[in-house]
Amino acid sequence: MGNNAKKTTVAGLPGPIPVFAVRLVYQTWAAARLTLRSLILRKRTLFMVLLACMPILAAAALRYWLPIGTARPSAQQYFTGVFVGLYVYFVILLTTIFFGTSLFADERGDRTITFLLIRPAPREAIVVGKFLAYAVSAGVMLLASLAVTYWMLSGMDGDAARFGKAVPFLEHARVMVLALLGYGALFTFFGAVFKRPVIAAFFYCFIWESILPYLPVFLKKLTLMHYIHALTPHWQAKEVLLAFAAEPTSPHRAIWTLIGICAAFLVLTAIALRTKEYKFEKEL
Amino acid sequence: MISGEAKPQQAENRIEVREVSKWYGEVIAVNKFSVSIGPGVTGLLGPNGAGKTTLLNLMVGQLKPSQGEISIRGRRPWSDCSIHHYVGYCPDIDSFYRGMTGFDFAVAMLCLSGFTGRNARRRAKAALKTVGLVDAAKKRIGAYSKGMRQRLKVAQAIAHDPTFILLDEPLGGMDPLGRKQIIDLIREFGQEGKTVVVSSHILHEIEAMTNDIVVMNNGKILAEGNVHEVRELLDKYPRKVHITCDKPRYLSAKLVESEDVVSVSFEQDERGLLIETVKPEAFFKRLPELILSNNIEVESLTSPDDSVEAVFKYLVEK
Repeated sequence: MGNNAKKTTVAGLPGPIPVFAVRLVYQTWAAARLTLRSLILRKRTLFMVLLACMPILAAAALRYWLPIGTARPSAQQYFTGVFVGLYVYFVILLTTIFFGTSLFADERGDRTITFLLIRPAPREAIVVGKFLAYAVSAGVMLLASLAVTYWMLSGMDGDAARFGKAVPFLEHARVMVLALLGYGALFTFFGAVFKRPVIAAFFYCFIWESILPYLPVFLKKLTLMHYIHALTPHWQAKEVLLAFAAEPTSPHRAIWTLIGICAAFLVLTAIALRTKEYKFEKEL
Repeated sequence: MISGEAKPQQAENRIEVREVSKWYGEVIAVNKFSVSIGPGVTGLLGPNGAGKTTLLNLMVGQLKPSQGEISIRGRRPWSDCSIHHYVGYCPDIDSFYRGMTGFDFAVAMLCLSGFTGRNARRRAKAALKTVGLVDAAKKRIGAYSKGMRQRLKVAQAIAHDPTFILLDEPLGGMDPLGRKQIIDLIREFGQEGKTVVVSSHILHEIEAMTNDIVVMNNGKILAEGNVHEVRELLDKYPRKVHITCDKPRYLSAKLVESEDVVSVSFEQDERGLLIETVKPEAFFKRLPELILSNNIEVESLTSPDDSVEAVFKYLVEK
């Protein structure tokens, strides 16, 4: 260390930002930067990047490596298959499960949550800041993956313009963004309240939502996937024996419902942070 | 400074704890604890598991009292996070954000407190200088020693210039020089009129910072007041000192010549000595000279803090 401790010198320096609203923005931004930094430094993020590359590899395999003359689906059919089968049911769910739950579960696991909660930052600012960091990192990663996959498949049949008309990129990107927001907020909440949020999130995604077709109509509307389906272009419900047919939700309504779910779970997360005690073994 | 009942003083710089209890299931961590702490340094003394950390966490609003009420500046810390503008807390946890330097960490904590980036950097630099960590500021926290991490925690607690500073075992893992620096710093904060609460299970650490102490055990307040009264109690109980050296028999013969040494026993390996003294300060003053003048090679010197435990036992029985 070498140097000696000196008398406190922080006393004469300027204080915190006096205007509450401006200070709130700064605090939100500070929480976002702190989270972004710790998200990037995790090994888990590398796994997520590899996961996001899976659809790109699948598209590359189809376009460049499938032997000429092999019977294959059209680019449009293939993109729809990749989008629903890989992105919606797999990549988005895993990304939101691991990133969403980690926002608070990592802070609890690393015990750094104490440093967050002894700051004069409103809990809402911490939640929004952390969620922003998640949304930006997950959004950039998955939208980039979607864009590359789309670009690869758009030229596959030799008519990119027709592909673009039949498979609108922005509509798919919209589904992806809304799914990231909806599931992300839900799993952020899980991370703030459950000791093992990943298990709870897996249960939600792969047990509760997998029985979606068999659920009565009113229960279907308690799943996020119902609204994702309503927005997904060319999505068709599989015909499942004993399934309940539900009246589809309009895309407009689905958008607002997903935004509402996102906002509701962020509010619940902030409430959880206000009311929950984060105790560690050594505290006695 | 401290009293069991709230004195009619200004609530501005006081921490009021009224009949506070905290239990986890069937375990009572803090039991009907009342204290009023004003400006200056107050030592919170108790053995491990006494409930000190729980009490500090209740004071900073990390935990909600199961019963009773805590107020800082007349506000309840559990429900009012804005109180942290005035409160700095050095927790007992030894965890930090990954990949950060000490400077980055201090800046991040200040930005979360609502400082602009520029001000946060200036304050972080000043706080790190205050705790003697400025040379290591740009090193990653992962490369810090335990003592440096303790200093960093103290830095984040004081960087926003709080009126109330709560430090949970701040000297743990520090080298003797570091301890002295932080002890001096804590005393300075007390002299500046800040309300400082320092927890420790080692009496002489607390003694070096303040005369005002609160002794707790099993979540209850055992004694409060002047440290010298507790010290007198302590002196009735012999302090154990363990020495490993090359001439244990010779050293023991020299030591028993003094009245303060009440017993000496040898260990099986015949290199270790366990000494009991009723005047530890006089003993430790005499010991270095004795070792040097007789050319004794000392391998280790430890003082198991059993006598503090004895005082706690005594207070419980009382």
